[in-house]
Amino acid sequence: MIKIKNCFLILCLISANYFTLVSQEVQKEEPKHYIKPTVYLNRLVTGKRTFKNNKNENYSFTQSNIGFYFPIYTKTKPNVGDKLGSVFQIIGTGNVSRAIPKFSFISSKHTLVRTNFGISAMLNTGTKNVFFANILPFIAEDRSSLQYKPTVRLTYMFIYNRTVNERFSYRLGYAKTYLLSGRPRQPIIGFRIGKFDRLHFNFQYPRFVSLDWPLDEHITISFFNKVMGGIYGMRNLEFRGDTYNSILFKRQEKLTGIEWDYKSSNVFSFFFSVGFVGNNSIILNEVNSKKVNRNYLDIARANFIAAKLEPSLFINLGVQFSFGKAKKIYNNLSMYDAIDLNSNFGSGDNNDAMKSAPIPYIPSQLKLKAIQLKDVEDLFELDDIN
Amino acid sequence: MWYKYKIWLVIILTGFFSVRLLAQNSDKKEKIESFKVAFITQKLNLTTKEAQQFWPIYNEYLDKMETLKNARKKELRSSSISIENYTDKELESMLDNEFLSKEKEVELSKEYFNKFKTSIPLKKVILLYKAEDEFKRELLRQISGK
Repeated sequence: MIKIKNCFLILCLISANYFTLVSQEVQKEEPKHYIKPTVYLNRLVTGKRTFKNNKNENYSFTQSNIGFYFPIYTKTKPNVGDKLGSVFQIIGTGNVSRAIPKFSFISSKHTLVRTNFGISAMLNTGTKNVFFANILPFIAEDRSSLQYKPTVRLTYMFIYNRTVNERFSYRLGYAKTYLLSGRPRQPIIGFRIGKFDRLHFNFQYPRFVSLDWPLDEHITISFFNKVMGGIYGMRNLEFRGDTYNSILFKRQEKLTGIEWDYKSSNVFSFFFSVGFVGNNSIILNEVNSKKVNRNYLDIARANFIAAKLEPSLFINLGVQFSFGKAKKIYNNLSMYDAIDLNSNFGSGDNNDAMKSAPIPYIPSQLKLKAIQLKDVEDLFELDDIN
Repeated sequence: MWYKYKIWLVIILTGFFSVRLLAQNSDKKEKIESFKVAFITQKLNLTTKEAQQFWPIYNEYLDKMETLKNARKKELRSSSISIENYTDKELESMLDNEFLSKEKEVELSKEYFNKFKTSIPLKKVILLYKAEDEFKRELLRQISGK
């Protein structure tokens, strides 16, 4: 798996360099889409977390994720009089996440893989409304056990976004998500205060709360609190040696920390975040078992473990490659919200997107640094110089 | 464990330096573009409603104009590299294409003039054209360091 992932990363790097060179060639056709094809990879590592009720037991979790999204179809309706035409977009999306939970009471290693492919659709009507829908079926597998039968599950969401002005927008919607493990049906309530390319506060239930600060066109610093979680199936004979039933593993945690996003160029960006993982709990129970036994000490006889955990540290890092050219979106406020929706909600249940969406940074100071005549000579023609 | 992190570090550093080095030109172009947007925003002083109507149309105009100008410049560049190798007929056809491209640019400007008029008052459309000119002067002024 590691070798495959490394080959994939190297392939991404070569492609990124290739597409950078190609995009510098003269553009023959006008870009068709607002969203660039994007590939992202990230890795989350958490420290050992002891059980609150029993310091002898602990649990840790690592997750690697490879995902992508790409525009499939974009239809822009022409303006009628002073009424702005609508924009309809369909985006393909998918990711493969590989999670490795480690329990002090289970010695064998479990590699839990979730593979999802789906589509998102977005409709910008006029200047203020964005409708977003996303459907993502996924397959959950336990790669460590051939006897585990993969489970197919479905997540989806509908969101209505209203861009009131450049400093405020709100969102309402409904989602089926396994982010909060056992409570899959959730409302979506969110708002943003502040411009996207300046210091802004973002509240998006049930996903995250963040204070994002784009320092310039390259760097964004974010302070955030976000929910991560999921529901996985696994098979373990040492845990329940007398049965072949599968075990449902549910996790939920809140990550509070600081994230540093660096947009190196139009093609490559990366992020690094660090902080505390708290408010976390795990549940293990047999599929079809309705019995509840909260006595984690009695593991051998328990059908069910429900444990709250002490906080720990986490490290999350990721890279993102975007290819090709997209249509310009300067000051197009409803499109900013559409791009933000796709970045933060489009990639499914992992909730591990970079905090800074690909929204252009408009400088406040009208002063260009390190620009030479050769950088701007294409902008001038002979009759400009009078 | 460390092996995995070394791989990530190598990828981030290689990605950072290689892509950044290659993307320097497009990066600068985008910087100038966002500077132009900031400049026009300041000069036009649009209301929220005007801005929401105007910017999507202006972005569309910029995309189309950029495509036309790039195509024209590509043709000009290729002819300037080895002009001696072309026959008179080929050169004449190149010049015809040049005029045709310029005509297309004028047509596009006219088309979008009508669109701008529907989103912002006529006075602000005039201010826009003025701001585009002033922006070029501002660029030259900043480059010369005055």
